[in-house]
Amino acid sequence: MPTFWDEIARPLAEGTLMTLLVFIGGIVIATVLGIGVAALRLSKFSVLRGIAWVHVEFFRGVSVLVLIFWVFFVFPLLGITMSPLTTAWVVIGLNQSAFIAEIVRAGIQAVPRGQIEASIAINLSAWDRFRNIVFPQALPIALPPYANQLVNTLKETAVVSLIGLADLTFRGNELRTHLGHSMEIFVSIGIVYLLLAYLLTQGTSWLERKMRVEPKRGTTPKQAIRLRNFFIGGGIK
Amino acid sequence: MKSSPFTRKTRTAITAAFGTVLLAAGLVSCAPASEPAEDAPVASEPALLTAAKENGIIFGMTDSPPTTLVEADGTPGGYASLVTMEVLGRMGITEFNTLVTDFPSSISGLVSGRSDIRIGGLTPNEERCPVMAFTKPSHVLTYAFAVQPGNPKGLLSLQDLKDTDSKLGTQGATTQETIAIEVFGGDENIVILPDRQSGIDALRTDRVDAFVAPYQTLVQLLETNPGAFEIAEGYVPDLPILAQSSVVTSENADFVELYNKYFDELVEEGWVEEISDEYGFDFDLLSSPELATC
Amino acid sequence: MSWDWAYSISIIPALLDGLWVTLIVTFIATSFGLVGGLGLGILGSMANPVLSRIAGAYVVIFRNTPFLVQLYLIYFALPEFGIVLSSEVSGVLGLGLFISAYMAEVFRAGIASVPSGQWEACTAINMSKFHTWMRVVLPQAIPPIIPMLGNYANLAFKLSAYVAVIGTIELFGTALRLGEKSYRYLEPFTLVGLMYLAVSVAVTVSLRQLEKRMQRTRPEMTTL
Repeated sequence: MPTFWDEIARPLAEGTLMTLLVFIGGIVIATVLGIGVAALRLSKFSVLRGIAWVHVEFFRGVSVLVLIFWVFFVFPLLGITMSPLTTAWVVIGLNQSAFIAEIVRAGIQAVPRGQIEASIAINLSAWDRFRNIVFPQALPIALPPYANQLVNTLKETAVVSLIGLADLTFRGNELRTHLGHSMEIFVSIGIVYLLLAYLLTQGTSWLERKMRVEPKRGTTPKQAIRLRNFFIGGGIK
Repeated sequence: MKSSPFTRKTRTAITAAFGTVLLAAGLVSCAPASEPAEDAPVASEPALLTAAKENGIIFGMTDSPPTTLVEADGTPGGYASLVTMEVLGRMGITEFNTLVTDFPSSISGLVSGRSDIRIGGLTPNEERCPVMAFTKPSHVLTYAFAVQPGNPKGLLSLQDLKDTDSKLGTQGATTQETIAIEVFGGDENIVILPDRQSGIDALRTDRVDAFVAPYQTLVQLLETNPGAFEIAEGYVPDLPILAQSSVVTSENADFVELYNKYFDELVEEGWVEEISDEYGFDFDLLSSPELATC
Repeated sequence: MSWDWAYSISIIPALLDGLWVTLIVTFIATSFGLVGGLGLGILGSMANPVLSRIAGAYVVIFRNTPFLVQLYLIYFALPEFGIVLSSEVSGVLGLGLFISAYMAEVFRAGIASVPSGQWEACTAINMSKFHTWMRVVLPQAIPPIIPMLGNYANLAFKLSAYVAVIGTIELFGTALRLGEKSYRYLEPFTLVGLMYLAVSVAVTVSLRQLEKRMQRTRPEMTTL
């Protein structure tokens, strides 16, 4: 007699791991690419801005389900074959990068113009300007929508079940076919997704609290600087 | 900015268009140009077999126990997998992987080379035979009714359902649905159900009087829903019996030829009959004259 | 495999039929989402803690689980309770429920942005609750959020492709069917992708225009 663990819990646990694997790869690609695209969108050169604009509109406009089918089933016909997992990472990464690029851009553009003018006036280099003035102020603005996007990315990973990757949704569907009890199974996997989303939200709101900019005149947001140091190295001496 | 004849907006629009063209050009140039077909060496063995011996073979399948499924350790399982693995094992293939998708994607998976052979559950017909290479059928699909325990209405055929004005549950876009509509002369008494389990659920909640499905599927359902229903006696006489084959793309027809040779061997040895019995498939139907094959 | 123009042209009528179904699915689901979202938004803005909790829980559950799982639940699990819905009805219902959770948040924010003085003034002149909502609060809450609602209608459009997974023959489902018949996937999938893209980008761009125009006129609206 197979146990509960073997028959139900283990497949779901394995599925959760696959979901996390897809999610982490996808979000890393999306974040790195998104920041790059945001930088291009704010560039001085209109060609770069144009390319970034196309990237954002294309990947925001396309349906991710259609895109993943296209890359998975049509690319091989054109001679490009990526493994299911790579396909999942690339498609989710590209799709989400468009949304993240917009979040990053909005965050950067929300930094008051005067801040940048002032930093130019005191002769800070472009890099120092970004590191010390723009980044610490843009980060707290971009974090809440970024947290939202993390959850959206997590939800989006369910699409990989349709190209045969054994994620949580795939396993749930498999259990439904083999055991019945559809309601119990789908409610259970729904709860796992809810829990994962909850953890993501909690994690980012912890980050947000850590670096909330206190609106006191003359003080620098210490946590923001500490985070900045963590991500991109030290500030002005 | 006054010196420029363009506003910032039009410039962005122009460069966006330019960017699109660049991107498209990039994508196109990325795609490898189709190489001129090299003269294939006179192969003593099918190309698919050579490749599969080296890199293993990918089974494209839907998740439909007991015919095709994936075992907990990731290996292919179910009747069709066991038969195919036995045949391919004799051909010298040792590594078996799976691509599990739903039905429509199982075909796109084969066409795009995501899977090498789509196993189990495809019926050869006039439309499909010319474009795909079908193996000899590994088993025969027969339909049966799931009915209330004791079969109170005595339902054995579609005609019985019509005569008693009973409701039939079936999955949509299937052979059984098409034929039922013909027999009933309309679809008022047909309830389309999303999957096999919901067929039993509909029976349990009195939404339908009978649920029609492949016999093996009902046997499987009886295991997970003990006592919820009964399988009506015999095959549904007004539904056809369907050969179930595996397929590869048409350029691998040589692979199928070899496959069939080894399969015939297994039939002669009695191995196929044995495993058929074990899974409850009717082995004798494989040689039925009613059976449409390629 | 190379692009076959003759085949591409031959499938365009079928794809346009599919696009039409997709637009109908999106339209019904969005209407459902607007009504449900408004209801939930109002519930969520109420002082009654039980009602606003219920609305909040609905939003949290539907916004934090994959749409595909919600769709499976409606389509595959409801028959357990004797509720058998066709794939089309399940799809529209699922999409509507999902989108209403997003729209509820937008409505709630819109309602919250109405200055509390407006409520107080209504109370002061003895306006009934119903009239306060209908004549004062909603007319001020809704116009500024129209672009946001439009964005979610666009999301519904893109997500509607998922209903093909449970068997509805809309735009994406048509592409799957065509491939199954002809064993050609390059043209159907590519054309379908472009159709989704064209509609979605057109909607996004026009919503942005609308938003810009509204920002210009908003001061007059609020000082009305």
